[in-house]
Amino acid sequence: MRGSETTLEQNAGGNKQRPYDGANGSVGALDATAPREGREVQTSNFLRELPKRLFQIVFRVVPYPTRPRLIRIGNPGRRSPVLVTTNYDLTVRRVRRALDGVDCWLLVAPAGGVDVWCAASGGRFTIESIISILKTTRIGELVDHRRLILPQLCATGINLFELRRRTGWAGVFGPVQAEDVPEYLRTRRKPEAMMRVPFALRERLEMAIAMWGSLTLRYTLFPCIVFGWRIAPGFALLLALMCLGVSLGCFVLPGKTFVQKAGFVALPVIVGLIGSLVFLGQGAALPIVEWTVLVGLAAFLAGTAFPSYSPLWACGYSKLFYGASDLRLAIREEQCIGCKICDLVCPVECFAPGENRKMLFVNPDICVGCGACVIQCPTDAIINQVAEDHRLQTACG
Amino acid sequence: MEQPATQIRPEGVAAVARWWRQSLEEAELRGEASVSPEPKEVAVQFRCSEEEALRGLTAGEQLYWGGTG
Repeated sequence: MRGSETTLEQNAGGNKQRPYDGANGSVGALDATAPREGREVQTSNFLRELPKRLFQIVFRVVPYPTRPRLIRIGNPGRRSPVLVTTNYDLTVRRVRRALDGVDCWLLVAPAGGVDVWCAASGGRFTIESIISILKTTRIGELVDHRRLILPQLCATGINLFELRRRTGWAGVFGPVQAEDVPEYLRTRRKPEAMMRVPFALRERLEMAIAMWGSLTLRYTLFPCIVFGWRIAPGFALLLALMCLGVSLGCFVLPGKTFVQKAGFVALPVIVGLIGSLVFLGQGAALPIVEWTVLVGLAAFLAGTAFPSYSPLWACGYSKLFYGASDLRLAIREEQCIGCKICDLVCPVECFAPGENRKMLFVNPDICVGCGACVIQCPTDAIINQVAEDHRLQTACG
Repeated sequence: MEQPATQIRPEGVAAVARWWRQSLEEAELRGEASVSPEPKEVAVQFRCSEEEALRGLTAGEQLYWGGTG
């Protein structure tokens, strides 16, 4: 049993004082009356939803909202945990699957139909989203505690102090991956592996497909205007090759930048094209030059786009356009209490305790610039030096 | 996002965070549900500002629920 849902419409329909239709206020009564979905329904849904699922895989960057709502998973009681996620359809489906067998409440907060990390970083998953879903689902009437388990990757946008101040609910950051939530709830511990963003083969493949979908949609028109519509399928294929090559080979390909890495993927294709001149003769020179240009363009597009699709490399647009990164972290040692919350919210392991137990920013090279540590540090010990320098300059000037 | 104008004293936050984490652990051992106290009451108890108490409570909760063991 995956769980059952209560929509806002249902809430508004029957007894307006109760979060569920027909509920008399007790959880036992809810169990007896709330609608449930069976396995058979799930199977038929799978086939009906196949086009939607394919769309979500290929066009991952396109928002795909689902209804903000409260989902009851298993048979939760008044002390069961309350988890929160964003209303991106793919995320909700995966979280529900991961929580199969766990008795809990899942709040699907409005966030523009975008996944947790992007929504939190982009200002779509905010404290207002949480306030809205807390109020509309009236989850407070169903549980005795006031604790929300939030996905760790929303630490870039949800300030826990502010959340507590404005809602009275205490927030804690759970694991990065939904699959780890059952283990986390059992042990109440977040080992290293639950805190860091993995970028395993499956995720790299998913990102390659998503990157290909987005690049094909956005950038096929321009080469078609220059070289004609006949090149469209071939260019889409080249983009697929470059996206797959860069994404799957991101750790092993030589080169400092991803454009260089993409260049290494393109190199054998370009050598093959030029080599084919020997067999095809001078008459094929013009098409081969055309395709060489297209291979170079596809490699450039895949190389520049890749960091934005990867969780491990900071998007380089800020550096590209402004000539400098907009985030440079620094720790004010006198303010640090060694609580390790910076480490608990860091997706890539930038921090480690020093000799005096105070935290050190030990891995600046792998920092993705998400800023979660700056937002969540309880003593404001971590600062963005870029902003601080600007503040000091402005104050002095 | 609102930012408090007052300076945060790390000692105040650390003391509240330690206390609250310990309280949660003790409540767990007793099998009781723990109810988070009001920051105002905690501020009086620890002679710190309300903001420091709130941050300490939040940090303690996070450490209890996310500690690496």
